[in-house]
Formats: sequence, structure tokens, C-alpha cells
Amino acid sequence: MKSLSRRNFLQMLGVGGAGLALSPVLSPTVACAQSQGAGDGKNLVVVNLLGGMDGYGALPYYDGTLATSFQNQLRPTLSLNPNQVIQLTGQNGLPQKIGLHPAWKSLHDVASSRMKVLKNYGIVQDPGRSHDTCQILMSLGVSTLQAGANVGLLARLMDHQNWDSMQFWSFADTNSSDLNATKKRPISVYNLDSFNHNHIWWESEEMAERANAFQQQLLTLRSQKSSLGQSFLTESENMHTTIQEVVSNISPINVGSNATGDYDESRIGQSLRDAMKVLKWKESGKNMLTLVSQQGYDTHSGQANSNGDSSLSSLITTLSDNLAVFYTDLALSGLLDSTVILIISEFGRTLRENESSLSVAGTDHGHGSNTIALGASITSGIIGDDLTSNDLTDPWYNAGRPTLDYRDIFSDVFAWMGVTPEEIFTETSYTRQPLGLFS
Amino acid sequence: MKRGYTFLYGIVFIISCAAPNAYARPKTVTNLSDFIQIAGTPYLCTSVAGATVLAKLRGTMTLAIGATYKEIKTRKTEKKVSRLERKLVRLRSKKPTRRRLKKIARLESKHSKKQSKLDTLDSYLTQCGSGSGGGEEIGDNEFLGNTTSLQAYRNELTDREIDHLLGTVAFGGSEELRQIGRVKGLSALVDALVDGVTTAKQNQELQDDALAWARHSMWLPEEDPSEHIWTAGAIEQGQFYRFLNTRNPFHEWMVLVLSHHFSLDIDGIGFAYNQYAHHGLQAHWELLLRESVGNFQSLTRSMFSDSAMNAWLQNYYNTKNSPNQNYARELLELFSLGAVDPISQAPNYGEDTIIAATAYVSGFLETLEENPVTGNDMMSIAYDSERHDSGAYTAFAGIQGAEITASMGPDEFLNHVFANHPGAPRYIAERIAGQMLYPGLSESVVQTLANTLRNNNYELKPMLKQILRSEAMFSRGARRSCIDSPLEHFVRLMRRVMPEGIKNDLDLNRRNQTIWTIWNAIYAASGSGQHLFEPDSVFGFKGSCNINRNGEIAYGEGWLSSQRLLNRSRGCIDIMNNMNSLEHDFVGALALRQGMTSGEIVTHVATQVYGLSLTSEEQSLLVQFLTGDLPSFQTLNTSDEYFIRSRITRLICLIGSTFETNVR
Repeated sequence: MKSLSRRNFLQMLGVGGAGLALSPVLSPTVACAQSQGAGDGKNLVVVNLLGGMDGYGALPYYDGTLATSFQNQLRPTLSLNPNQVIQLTGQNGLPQKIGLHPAWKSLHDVASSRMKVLKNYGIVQDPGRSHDTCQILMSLGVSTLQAGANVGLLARLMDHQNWDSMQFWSFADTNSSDLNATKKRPISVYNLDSFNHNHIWWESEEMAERANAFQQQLLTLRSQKSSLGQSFLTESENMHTTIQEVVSNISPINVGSNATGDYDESRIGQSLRDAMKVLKWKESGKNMLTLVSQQGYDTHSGQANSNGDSSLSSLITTLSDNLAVFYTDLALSGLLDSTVILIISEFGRTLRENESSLSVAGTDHGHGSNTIALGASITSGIIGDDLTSNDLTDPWYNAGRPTLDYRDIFSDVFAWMGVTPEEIFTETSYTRQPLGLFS
Repeated sequence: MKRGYTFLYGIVFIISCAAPNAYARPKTVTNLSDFIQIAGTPYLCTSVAGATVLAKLRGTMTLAIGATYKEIKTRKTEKKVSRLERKLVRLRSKKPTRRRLKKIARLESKHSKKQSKLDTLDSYLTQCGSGSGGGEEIGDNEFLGNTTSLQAYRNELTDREIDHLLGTVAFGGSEELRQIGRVKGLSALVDALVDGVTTAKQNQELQDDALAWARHSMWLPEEDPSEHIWTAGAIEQGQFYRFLNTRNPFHEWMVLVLSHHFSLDIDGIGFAYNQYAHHGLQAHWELLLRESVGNFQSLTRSMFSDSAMNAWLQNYYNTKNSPNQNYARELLELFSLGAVDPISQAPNYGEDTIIAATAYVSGFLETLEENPVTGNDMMSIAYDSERHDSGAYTAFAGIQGAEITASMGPDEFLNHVFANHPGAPRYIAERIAGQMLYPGLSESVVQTLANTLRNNNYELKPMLKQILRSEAMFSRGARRSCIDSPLEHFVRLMRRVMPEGIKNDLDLNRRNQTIWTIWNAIYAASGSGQHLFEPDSVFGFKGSCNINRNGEIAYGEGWLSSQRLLNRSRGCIDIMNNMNSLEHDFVGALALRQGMTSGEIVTHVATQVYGLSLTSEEQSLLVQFLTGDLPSFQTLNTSDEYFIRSRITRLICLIGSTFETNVR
């Protein structure tokens, strides 16, 4: 695509005198040069599973008294046959053994040596079981809501590190606090392909570029005093910059179609494909954060494997298949050693299933959960505590009480990225407990 | 030194006020009256000029052009605060020595003072209207309401005040409503908005037409009323027909508000093409229409037996033997109370209440009944006491007036919540009023509106009228307080460009083109983050104006992202071009006349479509866009199809990409 130079634009306008005013618009706003396969600089990929993933179904116990309790008392309908569960190594001698739902097979096949299972994690203080409350708390990186707090932990990381907009890409359904960085605003897109052209179908590229240039110029003519107005201008500028970068540099980058397969057209598939593109594009030496999400984990009913797209199995299969392609892409691009993938969800689900019919059975909102971190120098293994007998026998609480603070997981990753976690998590009640995620 | 500048202050003050194009950004400071209006007093106006001079002398001309004294101070203070924060972070990361700790304490104290000063400045700018995006173009005799007062505002409104009201809650309104506002004043305008200007018969005709249009959109024979609406898309087409054709746009705006509140993805429930369930789509839509300005408690109760809501939240699976908490939790968190009090942040209920509420609302089931129109079976929601958990539970433990231990049925429980829980009227009042006035309402405003709501048994009209007539509605804090939602944006635009609405009696070709144009609008809004009746989740649309739960205030920044702005911008162009290709009298609707100069066209489009006054720089730039680089065969001609397509439609969308045209 023909790019618009300042000279062209000035000629087009026929007003050389406007050059001074135009300079902020047309000066190179992105310092990030394309650098395919750049292996240095650390990358964090956060996969947010919205709705509250059932960690005890996704990473079930398959041996020990807990496994028996789930199969016989808590979840006679939903529990898997222990033989179906993907067993994890390194649990010899442990009384309770945990594994992966078979839907994780594709990811396990490629990433088992760099996959850590985190047991019974979550917001340690009981935050209630509202999606919204828990998502916001996790986004903010706090244990209790504070009026007026609206800069999330990822946004604070961005601020703290003085990142450019293009060092934080969101392809996710987010809370606004995820993106409320105060210095630069992250790039938030759903579909990079939609940025790969400038014009409406009937227009010529020149017509569209001309209009875009005028649009950029028009936006500079009124300064905005309010933070809302400034956000609007910043996002407009981000939009134009993203178009330029995608058209010129990001779109041509090939990803997927590797030995593991290809990304599918699900939302999470598209997001991971786009995330891979920007990771391959990013400037050498810089850290980068990408945020993706998958909806549908609010499995109050239809959670069993036989229930098609809404089942937990189907959701995990989609996630796992696309993550496996992503993971392979990372390895092929030389980015695996520098990239960590964290899977999080706002809460786990109740220990007891809510119905005995296979077509209806599901789980309600719970508290603690199990999850996975993988990539970089993470070694295989399991961290965290098992459920207690008290958890199993309390019909009113009916949920795991987390003992692993979700912030400790982020803290280990931030430390690995060269960031002091305590400068991101400043809530006084929080004291970091290093997990040894990378040991 | 300051005394030395006194004379110069005066000179520059006069120059600045008298020669706005040279020294001041005209939209902000065009003349003495604007200076006074923005700065509040002649003294401050002098300060503005003085600050401008000082800034110029200090080489900060760029900053000073058109900026007010307060802005300059604010920016400087912001920088200082930021510098102090950086220093503190640096110091805290080092080993704490006595000397260092002393320095940290000193800097913290300084930081606290500066921050406090900044807060004061910020609040000043907000009160002036400029902090929340407004303030510009306001005359000194308008938007004089007190931000926190619900007392009635004066009856006579300026045109800008009328436009503000209609732009905020009525998709820009209509000429009919504007006339009521001009001639009869605020009170009559509010009555017209809330009570409507049409008869019951006319309302029914509009809905009949909307249903016919929905059937057209699926190419179903209009003469056969037994043909039902089979898809979510048809419902969306029908609602859009109402958006564009209604004479009561506030009612349709409330439908949008309530569809966020009782958030439900009508495409996600699997009713489309389902011969037993599809009628539930239309039933749910008509429930929202019926209660849009009706009774909130009655609407909430109706959701129990609404088949679409049952399919969404699965309450028909909730029985005494298999309790499913989904519906009970959302009934409390989303529909009636909120998880926490919006002001105090105290929890409105605990997990024990979720268990109790699950029991109270259990007992519904899916059943079949005969469709009175077609005679076929159709899904219905019935209540079966055998499935109901009649055990005694304790709910709202520790909440004064609301705590109860009892066995209750669904209606009984709902009545208890609405009658006895102090959080119910507050939550509902705050959720609705925050979108109408501005996010972050004060405790006193919320409490007053909550009292109105409860004292009127949750009838919405008295509270809605109180809000719309209030001083707060016409305060500077309420003007341009939020980014408009994509549907608000596109519907307002389409109503302005196509004031006559759309017609059912179009020939087939034009009808199909119009249906396609509406699909364009639906998809443009969806791509910009808001799919009509298909929200992202049970929370509606996060980041929408005031709509976030749990006290997290949002100003519509959820609509701002690279992707959403791209789709908003492209959506505008798509819609405008499709409207143009409808043989719609585009030029006539914009009141463009042959022989107009390019400047007149630009001004006309800006005011006609957006009610926006352009600055001279904007005017000049847009004239260049309109006339520059025209092909040799082309001249400025408002009857020329190529000119309209390549320049006028784009012009509308260029102006529509500015901040001022995306706030309400």
C-alpha cells in the first residue's frame, strides 16, 4: 500500500505553511521497527477465561481421597473416569494426584516440559462470588474494592515501565481498568485484519488516505482539557498508528500453519494469531504484554462433555488447540524462552455439581481454582495446596478456599521481567510469597 | 516584576478578547463574554491574559495559545506531582537510611499538598464544564443548573439546552420536540418526552409497522400475521425501525437502557428458527417496550416468566432438589440491588442470601401451550409449587430492615426486596440517573431519587421527570459528560440525516436497500462495541456511561479503543453512503442548496447534523477537504452524485470523528 508522506500531504493540501501544525501528526509516532523473530525482551501473554473456569474440572484430581470424594459425593455426574485424565509427572508419593482434563491433550503434547500447574489459587480474602467484583479485583490486583481505583495491574505495569502504546496489546474483552494506563494507552483491537486496509470498498486508496490525513489533522485543532477528551484523542491517534503499522509491517508476518496445526476462527484462535503476529513484529530488546480472553466458562448448566459447544470440554479443547499452535509458533520464532503464558479466571466453581442429569448438570460460582502457567524457563511441576477435608464437608461454602494469592503468580513473572513486584502491588495487606515459578 | 506587567496584562487582555483568531482558540475564548463565562469573573479573565503573557515570555507559547490560566496551572501542577512521584518511587526502592526516610517524608508531604491543589484545580475545570469535555460554546446564560440539585430548572431553555436534553436521552429528538421546548419550555418538553406525544392507537400502529418491517427483513409475507419473527436479527431490524420512526425517542432510549440492565443476548439463547421457542424473542422485546417508562418492579417480576430470560439464566433448571444459583444471583446483583452499595461500597447481601434466594425463586419450568395465532405448540414458563423449595431460609443477615427468615415464593421475595432492602431503590435510581445526568452522582442526589422511586411504588415516570427537569440536568457537569454509545451515536446521526424515517410501503428494491442500510448500522454499532440486544455478557456493555457495577465509574471510555474508533469511523461512512444510495434526498435533508459556497456547506453540515459550531481553523481545513484535489471534470455541486459520495458523506463523517460529536 502506498504510504502517505508528509510531502505528499502538504502538496495535496497546497498549504506549505501548515507544515508546522502538521508535524505532530505526521512525525513518526512509532519507534518500533519491525524485527521478526526478535528473541530478547520479555513477553507476557495473559489468557483471561471469563465466566469463572471450573479449575477442579479442568485440572481434576484423579487419585487419592479427594478424587474419590469428587467422583462419589461431590460430582458423580461431572467427574471424569480417572483413566481419562492426563496424568502429570512428579507426583510420586503425593497422597492427592492432579492431572489435566483430556481436552488439554494438544497443549500437553507440545508444552508438558514447560508447564506448571498452580493449585487452589485465587483472591485469597473472600471477595463474594460476583463475576464483576472478582474480575475487577483481579484486574486491579487488589483484595478489596477501593472507590476511585481504576488503574489495573497490567496498566500499572505499563506505566511503571514507561512503555509505548505498542508494548501492550489487548485482543480481549476487558475491564476498562486493564487498559487505564495513565501515561500511554495500550492498543486495543479485536481483529488485526480489519486494520489492513484504509478504504471503504468503493473508494480508492488515495481517497481514503486523503480523508484519513484530514481526520488526523482535524483532531489536532482542538486541544482537549478533560481526561475523557484526551483519551479520545489518544485512542484516535492509536487507531491511525495501528493502521499504519499493520498495513506496512504487521500484516505480512506469517504465523500458524505449523506442525501442530493452525489457529481456528474462534475468538481465542483469532486473538492468539494476532498476538503471535505482534510478538514477532515487536522491536528487539523491548518487553511486551498481550492480553487475550475466552468467554463461556460460566457453566451453570451443560458442563458435561456431552453438551456440545457449551461444555467445559469443548471450551478447553478450543483453547488448548489454539494455545498449542501458539506455543509451537513461539518455539519456531525463537520466542519461547522469552515468553510466559498465564491462564487466569476470576474464580473457580462450586465443589458440588448442581444437578444429576447429564444434560443439565453444571457448577455455580465458587472461589478457589486450579490453573496453568507455561513457557519460558518454567519447568514442569505443581505448586500450591490441596483442598482440605473442611472444604469438602462445608455444604454452605461449597468451594475451595484459595491459599495461593493470584498476585504471587504475577509477581514471579514480573520479577522475571525485571520489574520489582512490590512497585506494582502496593496494597498494604499484600506480602509477596515467591512461588518459584521458574525454578 | 509582576507590577511591571500590569499594563501589559491589560493590553494583551484587550487584544486577546478582541482578536480571538490571533491569540485565542475561538471555541474557548472568542470574546469578553466567553472569557467571563469560562473564567467566571472579569478578574480571572485578566488573570488569563496575564498568564498568557507570562507563558509567552517564558517560551511556552504553544501551551498558552487559547489555554486558560487554570489549565496552565493544572498542567504545571500535574508535572510537579508526577516529578515528585517519580522521585518517591526512586527513593523508596533504595535502602532506607535515616536521611532517606526524612527526605521521603518531606517529599510525601509536598506531594500531598500538590495533589490536593491539583484536585482543586481539576474540580474547578470540571465545574466549569471544561473538565468533562463541555464548557465550550456555552453562553453565559445557559447551563446554570447546580450539579447536585434536583430542584426544577427554569422553564425557558436555550436552543443549546434543548439540544443537550434531546441529545442525551432522546437520540437528538426531533423538530417536533425541539419546537415544544422552544415554545412551551422545559416542563412541557419533559412531559412530551416521558408521557409521549402520541396516542395509544398511534403507538400500536408504530409497533405494527415495526413488526411488518421485521418481517420484511426476513422476506416473510407481510400479509400473513401468523408469520412470526424467527431471528434475533429481525427483532433488531424492528427496533431500528422504531429508533428511526418513533415520535417518542426517549421511550426507545429507555428500551436501550433497560436492555443493558436486564442484559440478555437474544441471539445466544438458541431461539432462532426454533418453532417452539422463537416467539420468545418478540415477547421479550415487547416486554421491554411495554415497561420502558412503566413500573420497574413489575418489569423485574415479568422476567421470572419471560422465556428468553429463563433460557439465558436457566431458572427453569432451578428446583428444590437441584438448586441452580444463576438466576438468583443475577436477580440480586444485576436487576435489583447490586453486589455493593454504589455509594458506601458496603455489601448488599452475602453468599447465604444467594442460597436463600435460589430457594425462593425456584419452581419454574418449561412447558408448552397453544399459540393463539398459529395454533401450534409454543414454549412457555410455568410455575410448579412441587419444584419449589419451600424451606425456611435466612436472607440479608445483618441488613437492617431487610433481614428475614422465612419460606417465600418468587413474587413474595421480590416484593420483600423492593419494599424492605434499602439498596434496591438506590441501586436502580443510580443506575438510571447516572446515565441521564452524569456518572458519579452524589449521595444526596441518589437518595432523593431513590425516595421518589420508592414513594411511587417503582413507577419510573415520576423519577424520570424529576431527573429531566432538574438543575443537575442543565448543569455544566452534565453537559458532554460521557462518550456516547455506538447505538446512540449512529441512531442520532441517522435521525438527523433522515428525519422523515423509513417507510414500509417502499418498492421491493428500495426496501431491500433500506434493510441493508439498517444492517449496516447494526453491524457498525456492533463493531464499535455495542450489538443491539446482544451484549457481551450479563453485565451489558462494560465501560459504558455509568453502567459499570460495583462503584467503578465509567464515562463511556469502554467505547474508546483503536478497534472501536476504527469501526465507528468506517461505520459512519458505510451508513452515509448506503443512505445516499437509497435515493434518499440527502442534500434536501441537510438543507444544502445549489449555489452555496464550500464554507456554507461545511458550516451547514456541522450545525445541521451535529449542532456543532466549528472553529475557523476547522472550517478552513474542512473547506480544503471539500474543494481540494477535485478531479478536472468536477466542480462544487451539491446535485452531483460523485461530489456527494466522495465529499459530502465523508465530510459528515470527518466532523463526526471529533471528540465533540462523540460525547453527550
